[in-house]
Amino acid sequence: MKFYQVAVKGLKEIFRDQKGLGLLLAFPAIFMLVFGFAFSGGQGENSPYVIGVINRDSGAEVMVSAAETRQENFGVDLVSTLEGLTFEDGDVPLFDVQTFDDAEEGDSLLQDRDISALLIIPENFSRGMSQIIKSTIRTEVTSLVGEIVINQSGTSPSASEESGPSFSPNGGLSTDTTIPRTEDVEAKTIIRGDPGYVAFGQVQGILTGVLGSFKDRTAETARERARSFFNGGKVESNNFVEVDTESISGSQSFSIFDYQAPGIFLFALLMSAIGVAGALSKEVEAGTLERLKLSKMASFDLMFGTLITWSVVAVVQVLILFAVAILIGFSWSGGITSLLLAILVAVIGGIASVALGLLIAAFSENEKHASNLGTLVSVPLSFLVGAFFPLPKLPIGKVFGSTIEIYEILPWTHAANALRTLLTFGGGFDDIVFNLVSLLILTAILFAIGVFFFSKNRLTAIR
Amino acid sequence: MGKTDFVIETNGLTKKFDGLTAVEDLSLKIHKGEIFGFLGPNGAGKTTSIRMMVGLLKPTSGEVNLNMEEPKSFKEGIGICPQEIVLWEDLTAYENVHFMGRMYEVPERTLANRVDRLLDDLQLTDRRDSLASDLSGGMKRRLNLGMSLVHEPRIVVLDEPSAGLDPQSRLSLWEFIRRLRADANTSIILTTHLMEEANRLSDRVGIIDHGKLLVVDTPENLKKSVGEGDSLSIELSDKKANEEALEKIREAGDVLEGSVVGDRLLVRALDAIGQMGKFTRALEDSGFDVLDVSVSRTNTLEDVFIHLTGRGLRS
Repeated sequence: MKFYQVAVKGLKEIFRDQKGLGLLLAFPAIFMLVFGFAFSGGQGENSPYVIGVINRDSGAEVMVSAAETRQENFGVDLVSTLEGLTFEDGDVPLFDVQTFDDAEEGDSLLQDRDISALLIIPENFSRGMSQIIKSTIRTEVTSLVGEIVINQSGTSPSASEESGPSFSPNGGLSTDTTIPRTEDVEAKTIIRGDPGYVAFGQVQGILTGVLGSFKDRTAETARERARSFFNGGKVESNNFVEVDTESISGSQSFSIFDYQAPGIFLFALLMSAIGVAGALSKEVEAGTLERLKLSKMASFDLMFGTLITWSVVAVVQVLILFAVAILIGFSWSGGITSLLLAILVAVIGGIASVALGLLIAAFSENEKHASNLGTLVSVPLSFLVGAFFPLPKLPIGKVFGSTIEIYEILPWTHAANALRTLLTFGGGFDDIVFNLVSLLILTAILFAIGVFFFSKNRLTAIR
Repeated sequence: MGKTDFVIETNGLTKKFDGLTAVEDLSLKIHKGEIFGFLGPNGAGKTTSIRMMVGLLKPTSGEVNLNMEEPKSFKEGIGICPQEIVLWEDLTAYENVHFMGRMYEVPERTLANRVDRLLDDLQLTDRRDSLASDLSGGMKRRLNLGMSLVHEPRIVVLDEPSAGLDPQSRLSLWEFIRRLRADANTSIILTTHLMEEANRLSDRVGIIDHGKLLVVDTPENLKKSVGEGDSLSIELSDKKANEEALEKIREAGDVLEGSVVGDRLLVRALDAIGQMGKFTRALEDSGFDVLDVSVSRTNTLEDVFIHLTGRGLRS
């Protein structure tokens, strides 16, 4: 339990150093205020992003009711949605949409940075959306009817079946309508742009969110239809996608600040590694570490105790970051659960930064050295984990069928992904399980590496 | 000496830094319950020697052996009080000592009493709950010592313990060190460049210079080894002429030993007081301007050091 004593000692030192404590608490608040201002958080002076769109969608037959299908073009709906989006708290359009038929023309404008991004809607976009609708209906009907009832009709409800049981608008099973079958369609929408261009980084985040929301709302509409249909309710045969200015699910409106906030959280948390490295290096410089080295304290005790101390600080800093962000107008997708989960992710991300600070301290001779080395490591890392800009694809392998990028060996990449999933796209716990587990495992590994190097470099006899 | 007579032994301990030999072939035995003084000028290799002894510094060659009667680990058996004041400024005096006690795994049931007793012995009870940053330099130095003793080590290493202390605090500290040995039969190794400290505290003194241990013996034996006679210390106005003046003195009288130490001439001679007039006259006849002459009737460890190295401790 020596680590507990180390943690208590560390907390006493932090809370008794009034100036240092003030800086620790002021840092996240000032950081968020400055970045919020820089990304126009709460500001109304927004101007539309100019984007290019090539809509190659040829449309598809879409099932709008049990007995009716209609030719739809979801590409057109998506373009209308983009045109209708506005900045938060205002009527300023979010996008100035320019449509092209020719990709070369779009690429030329991209190179000149006359447009921030080029969205290419594929020919089979509507077919892809149609499959989402069919799949949603199958899932919904299957869950509503239940396997037993479906099986009584003599047909399996499996989505891969050639034919399925039928459902009636008046409730119960009948033979007038079959549960739609899904096809294997891959509709690949491309967001093209220059990763080195700041506006592209911002726009691609927004477009990704809009596309996700577009698909979610289409599926949701299909789900509601199937539910209403099944319960004998009246079904309007209107469009699947209503074009309005609601933008992303769960959010009344959004600003650039809303999209950048997860990256800002992460950047602030990575910066805290510098403070941790400085605190440990202070022990080296003051000679107190040498005292401890002569005692029976193990490297783990010092490192874990310090980790606990600074994790408490990280929790407080995360709460301040979120509180200030919300105060200056940050609006997130999803409900309070998303926010609480995001706080949890940020805290774990903060602990990963503490572990990084311990590792930096293992290679720092003194406080000044730790500060310089910490900055040298933390700032580039915040970009390497995609806090602000998307990164080029660098796959290193596959895990459970998912491609793993090289950046994913860093815990903060998972923190960034999870924060975006929760705050930008309104995802829930199920959507971040992989990122959360990866974040925890990689943080533990980083801590173990820190213990190893600190022990080797700082707690053994000097050669 | 039998096997159990020593608590720590070094064999051929050598440390080299980038080709520079800081400590060379140090072989030494520290006896149980003795106060051993490492005497030498700054940079002589005292601190390097003790850092190797306690395991903070890896020797280039040689070994350190510990001989504990009780089954104590190396870390439990040794306490080191560094030359620099090393404590946590934002912890109180009590918390500093208590924290170190916990790091040495001193049971909580005995630790609180032990810390209070230590603070009392070190005259810090009144400042028990003061932050270390609010203590005076002398108090910090005493606290520095207390933090090294909380686990009741069998061997205590004190690196320049009275550096920066006023004469009164120094006497008080010496008394504490004597009691520490008397009460718990603790072996104490102290490094010092103060001959008075080594002389008054040490049972044995090892004189070290340029990384080499020159001699080890009791202070009395060391002083006797210098020889008989008194010392004359002479200061001339022209310091550059010291060597030439020393030759004149040698020619003028019966000199046992003569050397230039710092800015002064040091002359050891039988009946030095009787010969003093002869020496000063010889100097003045040769044109030297004598500013000051003083006589020392008893040998000191400084004399021993000069005898061994030809230099003063402060040179």
